[in-house]
Amino acid sequence: MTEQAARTIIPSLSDLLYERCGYTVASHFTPDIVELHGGDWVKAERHWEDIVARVLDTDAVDRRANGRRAIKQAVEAASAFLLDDELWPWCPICQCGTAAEQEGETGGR
Amino acid sequence: MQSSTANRGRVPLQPPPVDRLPGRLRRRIRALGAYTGVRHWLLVRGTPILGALLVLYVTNGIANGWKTAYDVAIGITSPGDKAVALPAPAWLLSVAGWLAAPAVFGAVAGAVVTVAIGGRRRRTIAEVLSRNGGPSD
Repeated sequence: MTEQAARTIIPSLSDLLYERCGYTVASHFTPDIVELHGGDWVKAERHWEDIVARVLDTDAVDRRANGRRAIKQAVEAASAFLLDDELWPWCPICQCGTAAEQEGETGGR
Repeated sequence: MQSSTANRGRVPLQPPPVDRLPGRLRRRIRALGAYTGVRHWLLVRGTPILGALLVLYVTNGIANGWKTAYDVAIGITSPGDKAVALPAPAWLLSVAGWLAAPAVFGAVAGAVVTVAIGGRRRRTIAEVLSRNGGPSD
């Protein structure tokens, strides 16, 4: 486990690009989600942090998991949940890549 | 094409911005949900309430004197007493002393007891009797 994964901190999207980041995340996860946000790393990063923070309060994380173990479970569960979907890539925060966004573009019709 | 061969396997994006302290701090704060029990409650709820209490207490200490601030906070002196020069912050501190402080300390005590009662017999036998010495976290 790397130093990054040893602390209780949400890993940044750019950390997840590396094989030894300490998290089991698909290698194309980061490029896909940044591409989805129009190549805007800052926006994608904010939404990623929001996603992990939300997942930390779900049953995807073990009730007794604390600190970095909880972070690891949340990161892996969040990326797996987003990837295991025919919509991928999509963002649950800004709804981009989903039907809701297309509806918004055409004024809800 | 030369460039496409050289770029094979690379991420087709601009490099990310440099990781600076505010970003790291934000990711640290957003990771507070990783904690459970008393630690989570103290970090997420307890710290802001205690911070607000401290601000009220210091304001009163400076405005009305430290002895008066203490007496008002724990309800020895009325905020309407003659010894209180500025009654407005003293009233707030008095109310906070009645409501906020017992809430914080009572909740901590409650959480500690809940952990002690509810935390038993939750681990699996494999977790307790592991080969590689202790839990995996």
